[in-house]
Amino acid sequence: MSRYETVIGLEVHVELKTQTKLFCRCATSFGAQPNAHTCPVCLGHPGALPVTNEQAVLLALRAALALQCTIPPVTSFDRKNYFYPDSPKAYQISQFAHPIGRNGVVEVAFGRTTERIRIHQVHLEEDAGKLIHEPYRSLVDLNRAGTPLIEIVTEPDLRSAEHAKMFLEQLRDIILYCGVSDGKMEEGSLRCDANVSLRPIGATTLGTKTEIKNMNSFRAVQGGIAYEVARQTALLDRGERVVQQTRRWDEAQSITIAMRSKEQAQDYRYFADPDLGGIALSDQLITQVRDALPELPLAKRQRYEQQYGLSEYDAASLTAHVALTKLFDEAMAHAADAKTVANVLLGDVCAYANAHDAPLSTLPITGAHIAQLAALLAQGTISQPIAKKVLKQTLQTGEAPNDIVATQGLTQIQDSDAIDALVTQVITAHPQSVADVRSGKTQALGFLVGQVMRASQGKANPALVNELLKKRL
Amino acid sequence: MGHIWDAPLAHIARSVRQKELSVTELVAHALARIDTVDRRVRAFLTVDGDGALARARLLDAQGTDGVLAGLPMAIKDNISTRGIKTTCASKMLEHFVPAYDATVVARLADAGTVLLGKLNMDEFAMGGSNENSAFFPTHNPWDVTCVPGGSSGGSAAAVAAGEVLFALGSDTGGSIRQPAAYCGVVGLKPTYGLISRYGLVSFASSLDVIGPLTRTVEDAALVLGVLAGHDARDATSASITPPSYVEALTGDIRGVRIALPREYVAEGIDPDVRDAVFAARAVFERLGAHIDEVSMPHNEYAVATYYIVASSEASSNLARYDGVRYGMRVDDAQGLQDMYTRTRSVAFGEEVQRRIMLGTYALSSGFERAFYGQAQKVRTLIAQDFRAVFDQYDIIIGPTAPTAAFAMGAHTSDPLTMYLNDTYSIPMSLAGVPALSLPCGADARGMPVGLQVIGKPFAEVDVLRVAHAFEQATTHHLRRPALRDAYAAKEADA
Amino acid sequence: MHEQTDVASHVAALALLHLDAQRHAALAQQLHEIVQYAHKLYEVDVAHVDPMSHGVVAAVPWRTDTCARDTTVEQLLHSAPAREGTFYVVPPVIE
Repeated sequence: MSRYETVIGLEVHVELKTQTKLFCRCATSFGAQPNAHTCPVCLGHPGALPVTNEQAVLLALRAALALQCTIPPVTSFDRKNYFYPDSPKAYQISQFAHPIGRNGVVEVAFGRTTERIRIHQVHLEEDAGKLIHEPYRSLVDLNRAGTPLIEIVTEPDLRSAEHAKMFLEQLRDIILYCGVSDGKMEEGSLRCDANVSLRPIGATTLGTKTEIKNMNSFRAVQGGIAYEVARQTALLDRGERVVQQTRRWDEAQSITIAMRSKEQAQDYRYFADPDLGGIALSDQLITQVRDALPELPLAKRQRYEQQYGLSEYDAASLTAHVALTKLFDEAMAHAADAKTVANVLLGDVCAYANAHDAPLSTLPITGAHIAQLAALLAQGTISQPIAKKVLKQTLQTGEAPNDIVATQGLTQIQDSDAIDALVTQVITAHPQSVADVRSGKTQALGFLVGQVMRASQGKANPALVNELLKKRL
Repeated sequence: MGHIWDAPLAHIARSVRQKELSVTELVAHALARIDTVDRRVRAFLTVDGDGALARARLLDAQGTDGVLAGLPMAIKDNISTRGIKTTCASKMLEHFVPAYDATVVARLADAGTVLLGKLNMDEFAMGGSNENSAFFPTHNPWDVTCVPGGSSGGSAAAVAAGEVLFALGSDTGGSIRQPAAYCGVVGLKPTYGLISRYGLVSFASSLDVIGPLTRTVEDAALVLGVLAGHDARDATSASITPPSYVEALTGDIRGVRIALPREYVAEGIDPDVRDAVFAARAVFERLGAHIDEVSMPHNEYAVATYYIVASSEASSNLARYDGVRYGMRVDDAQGLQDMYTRTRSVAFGEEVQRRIMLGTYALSSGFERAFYGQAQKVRTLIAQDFRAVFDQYDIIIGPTAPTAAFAMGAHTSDPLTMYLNDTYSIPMSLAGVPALSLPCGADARGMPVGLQVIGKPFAEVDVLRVAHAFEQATTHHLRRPALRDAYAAKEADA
Repeated sequence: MHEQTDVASHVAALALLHLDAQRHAALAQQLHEIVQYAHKLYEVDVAHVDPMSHGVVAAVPWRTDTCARDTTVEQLLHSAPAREGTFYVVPPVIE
């Protein structure tokens, strides 16, 4: 058992889902030729001026409200001054004095317990460009420069690498639910730095921290922090001190490496950007954005368990993907049976999406379709095997299950006489199997049921088939 | 041509619209004047003769119905012109050709003007004499041993010398008004936000404005009408619909309440300038205005406030000149840091480096954390002084500068003295209010003296009406520098 | 005097300016004088005063999120001191 308590705070950068950059009309799409998405504004050409992207502010506001932040009456931008070739104006337009949100909180489930992780602030800022370092020179691509980001800064409320990773995953889900960002760590639209320090258990002051950068996956976040905790523990155990510095996670070696000492704080000379006036955030606007917020993952998950009696596993699986919860909620709006809907979604629908490598949101199926299917099953109108067929067709063509069943005559056969006729056919055609069943080889019964089903083209009620077959043998 | 060249801009433009006057002739005349006069004045950094003639022929062929149809003009070299060098009179941008036009450049083009070229200035608009141009100083057309003022010295000198029909300048702490006063022309610094800054190379973003330099108040009103109005590319551009400025020039200022702050005619002012201001006061009274002396208690802090605020913003605005994407870069750099540092040290002039240093100091957390914030708060009080006076008065008047144009080389060794010379033009910049300088007399040497007419925010209409009434009641604006007349004489000979 | 030159060195480093010895001393002295003069700002009581970061503003705070472009990559890269394809090239970053 360690003698130290781990204290972790995260700084999470989230790229906002906008068409254009934060202060100019250049496209935010990537993969283009270097510097193709640049203009006098984002290149910092003499005389060019920034104008704020409305959508970026609204998305940032949505995120801040989802994180339960206090919103100021006026939010404004500040300049953070530093020289580097990826920063075209030699200052980054960011928020310092009046960020869009402060004092928020995220409720996070760590297994069965739920904790409140405090959010220090949420602020808007522009992204930097990219440098490619070569031995004798560096290449500068400013396509990304000026892309809108929000930075979410937590209080140092996390206590383990695992919790940090779980927090980040759930934060990502919130971001996705709100439609604020793609939230893809591998593609850099979600980036996370961690501040890690240790202190003796029971201490109230914070120990010296290190900042870890370059953690490009959830696994890396957990790995980087865990490594750093171990490294600092070893230092302290040896009676050495932790040096305040920035360290880089090296994925290949699975270690952190010191980048630069930060004993002297950088002098960024923040001041209000005089090119940009403040943006008034009226109560009306705040209410409007707050009212439009979707139900957040944790709340949804708890509701699924309580309202619909879903298992913890099913509720968690459904809420792990925005598209799934959308389909589920839509289906439930049609008063479907929750358990059936959950089974259909988590079973065949997910399997189909995986098999075809197609995101759920691109499939032509709707919540109403799922509700129809569930109703058809519940009413016994179609059998389970027919349901699979119908669902597959809906997933392929977008046709409604009710229409498919009607036009193809797939309604389940409930008529005992009709089924009995089929049973007679099968018994006559398979005397050996009949003999096997009678001599106690029960697996032969399954074969005979299958034959009856086949003869009915899958439409016979399987329970009825079973019952009638048994009666005759 | 000599006669029409002296006519009001509205008259010349009307003649062009009605095809009584060819744009090509006008432009050829302007280029000939530049050719003769500019060797001594040196107002131009770039003359785009071919471009101007081509544009003139196009306008003649197509006809134009613009408000400023056919008018040859020039623009201070810190306003972005697509395809034409925009140097800010700095080695940093000596060869820089912008990829876009400033909003004002596009508006002037739409109004039918012809751009003759780009005008000299103090480097990055920092200075009040044009001696800080990295290339050469401009001379005052009234006396070529004197400075034209600055930083829009080239703009004021070109108008005074009759090289252009009007010019654009920029004003951060007096850079339109002071050279206008020194060169005996009209210079208007409009309300902050009235004219788009898009394309004006930033010096101090919260203070910078673009404005016209013209021969008369009426001309200023005409040009302002073209320049003013909201621009979606400038987030500090006011969303107002400008009124008709020309219609405001009624000549009637009876009952207008005018304030003359005691602090504007106190110690440090040249007696000749003070006499000219008092004479102007008498003129206003004769025209039926009501004048009182008032007090602006925070005036004495204006210069200190300005140099902290403007330099702080400048230190950040000029950080982009790093040799990476455009502009000058030293050769043979040993790594990035060396490239940055040597490029900026070689390509920025002394005054620019001084202001960057001052601004960096004021913003740095290492020294006086509160310095910049303190200045921003004192700025609020200075603006409140104006509001308090404007609660009771329509207009404030005062001198534009403490003296008329000084001799070249007289002030350059001592930056603080130079800064204090801006004491009468700075407060209006800090408050963001409109202010116009127009000729109101001459000192003992015969050098022009400027009167400043200051109004409420967005009340350019009042400023122009009062200034116009004064101009029409006096003859100061009819005086012309001898050098300008010399051209006319030469033309008559030919 | 020594302190003045130290301040000047620090500020020059922040602003990425190199001052040779002679100019260093002169600039340090001038900076000192200007700062001394500006210290008069502390005479003013600003206890209940908000800072003014702008002139007069009645502005539109934002724009719609729609793409537009009126310059080409070549026009913009035309001014580059050094380029490789459409990259800007800088000397190596030595940390």
